[in-house]
Amino acid sequence: MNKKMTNSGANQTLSLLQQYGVTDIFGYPGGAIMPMYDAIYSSEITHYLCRHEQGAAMAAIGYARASNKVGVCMATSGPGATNLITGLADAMSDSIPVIAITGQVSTKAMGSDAFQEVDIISLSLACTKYSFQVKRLEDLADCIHQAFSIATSDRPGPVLIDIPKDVQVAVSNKPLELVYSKRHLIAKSTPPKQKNGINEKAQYEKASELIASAKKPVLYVGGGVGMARADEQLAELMQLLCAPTVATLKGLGSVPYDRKLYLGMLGMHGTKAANMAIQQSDLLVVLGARFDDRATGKLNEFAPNAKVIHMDIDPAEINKRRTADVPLLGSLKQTLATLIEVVRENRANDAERQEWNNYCVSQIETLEKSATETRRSEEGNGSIDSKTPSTAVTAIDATQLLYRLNQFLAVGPEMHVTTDVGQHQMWAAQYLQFTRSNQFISSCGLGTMGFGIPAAIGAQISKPNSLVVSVTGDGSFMMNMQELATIKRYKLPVKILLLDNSRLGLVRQWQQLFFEQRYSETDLSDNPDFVAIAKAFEIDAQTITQESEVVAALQKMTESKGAYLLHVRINIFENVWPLVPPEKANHEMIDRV
Amino acid sequence: MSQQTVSITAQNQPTVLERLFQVTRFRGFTITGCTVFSRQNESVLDIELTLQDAMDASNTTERAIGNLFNQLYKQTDITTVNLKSANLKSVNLETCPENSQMAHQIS
Ligand SMILES: Cc1ncc(C[n+]2csc(CCOP(=O)(O)OP(=O)(O)O)c2C)c(N)n1
Repeated sequence: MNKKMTNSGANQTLSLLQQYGVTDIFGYPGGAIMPMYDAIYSSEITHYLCRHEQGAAMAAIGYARASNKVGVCMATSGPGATNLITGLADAMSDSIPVIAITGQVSTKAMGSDAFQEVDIISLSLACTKYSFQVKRLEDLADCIHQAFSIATSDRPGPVLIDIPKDVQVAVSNKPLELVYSKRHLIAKSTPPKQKNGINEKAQYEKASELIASAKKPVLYVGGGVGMARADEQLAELMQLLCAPTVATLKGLGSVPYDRKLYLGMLGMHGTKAANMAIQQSDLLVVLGARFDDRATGKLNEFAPNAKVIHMDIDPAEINKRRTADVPLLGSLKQTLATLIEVVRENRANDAERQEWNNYCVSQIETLEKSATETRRSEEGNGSIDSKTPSTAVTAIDATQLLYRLNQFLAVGPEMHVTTDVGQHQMWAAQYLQFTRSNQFISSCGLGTMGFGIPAAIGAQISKPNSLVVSVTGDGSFMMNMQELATIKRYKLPVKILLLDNSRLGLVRQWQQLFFEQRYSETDLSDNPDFVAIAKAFEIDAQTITQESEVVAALQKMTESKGAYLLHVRINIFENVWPLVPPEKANHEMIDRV
Repeated sequence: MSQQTVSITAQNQPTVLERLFQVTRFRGFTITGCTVFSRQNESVLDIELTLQDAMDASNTTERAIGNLFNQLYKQTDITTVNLKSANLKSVNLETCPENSQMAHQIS
């Protein structure tokens, strides 16, 4: 019999995924998911074999983030499923719609500590929006329907669907259709969750009054703008308010870097101009952001004089860390449009605002310039740490290199940058220039080392014509470097920019600054030969050590037809500046020690 | 340390209680009492939790309970959350629309 024709649970799962527009799945096979893999064998959905389930989960995230589609990953029971967990936690933290399908031992073996049985439902509860276990074939369509609905609605997030092996092989005699959920109907018949117990219109008017009377307003842009695809509405609001604007790490790109009144990123490694503006502001208009501790610094001294208009899709973010004077709930695409309408009729006192705007802009110039200059003169001679011989210093300045990279990124029709976690991530955030939401794909909330390469794989697959560059560090690179095999297998033209300080740089920086230079377990000077590793995967690669090589090397990397690894030796003791020290308020930001 | 009672209605799905307990613990509360009854052919659960907040100095009771309320309320299977404790008169949650229902119950 032609297997393709059977109406098995596995085939039904794939058909349902297809009905939801899924064209690509990232995964790794194993015993309890074999029926699904058998179905994949003759499915129209393309399966991408990663070399670790964590890689598959993070590829699904990169895919989702670059394309705004749902990312799908798949793994077997037990260790396969547990290997997905870090990816799910990452997706949860950054609100990424990902569906993870895991195999499970057969229903009759469940609960018996069977081979490769793990209670993945329990393990996943803290890092998914919802977890389904499909115990009967009849429930399959319903679960998949709901999984997509939950993953993409309200604040998006990951959903797990655990399918026992016998449900995958069970055959149904009923024709498959995309049934509407019974539970969905139950939910509908119970009173809808009261999204708003207050007069919405009055809230908007209150917001508009606050905006009109503010003398020092600041727009605070988070990742929610990109998630809601509200770039346009944001641009309109910016034009209307004509107010200084700052972005969070996840919000980078939603405001084009060269936009007038854009002060850059706020927070621990943000710009001084952004942090100082916020600290002096009398009104924050917060769009899709959650007052993350890395953004706010010491919370009770954060923006001490500011009223807050908090626009978010997730009611649980309102008043969680900072009390909102006016909360506006809903998808930013709609709420921003409504706010714009109301604000249009209620114009502000322009002269006072002009003064504030001029002041903020002048801050970008004076503060940023002086910060960069001090850093240069301080670190250029490599004498920061007496324990380190200055011979360890190379001439390549990582931040300058990233700044130079901009000219090569801007040439193509599309570009995406993924990063790992560490100093290189912060430098990328500070020095790369983005013009649209979701161009910068970084593990923002969870800070997951090993994210960059699999995320770049997913981004490249969802955006085949994009120039995808993964900026990584020598520590992070090794956390998922097995995925070079995935790059090779699918001939993905991903570019890897490896900034090698032969240290766990960000941790080393903290040891230097806050742990009396006790460099515990952060020395990676016995790193392997990265170029040889790349070449073992048939990826073209080169090492550079001198400033004079930078431009040609960046050009070669970005123009190479296939994948490329540019290995850059950078100054071991280069630090990320400026910095808000731990437990300090953002206005206590320092340029250097 | 203050004690609160939260009553919840939820759809009787396999993970609902586990998730409820997990969210409650994660958001800073200890469960000191719990009753669960089902109705409507066991499709709906009525849950009453007695809670003690495990407060740290930087967190106020109001913020913690408001946060718990919102985090519970957004769970897929949870349909209503009501706070019943009488000792919360001082809670000022009306700035958060999500809490209006709760504020209602408190008064
Ligand atoms: C999975 C994981 N483990 C540990 C950490 C803690 N951590 C944050 S940054 C960092 C160092 C990263 O080193 P590297 O990738 O070389 O980047 P660099 O800071 O040197 O640019 C570490 C260990 C983390 N973020 N993620």
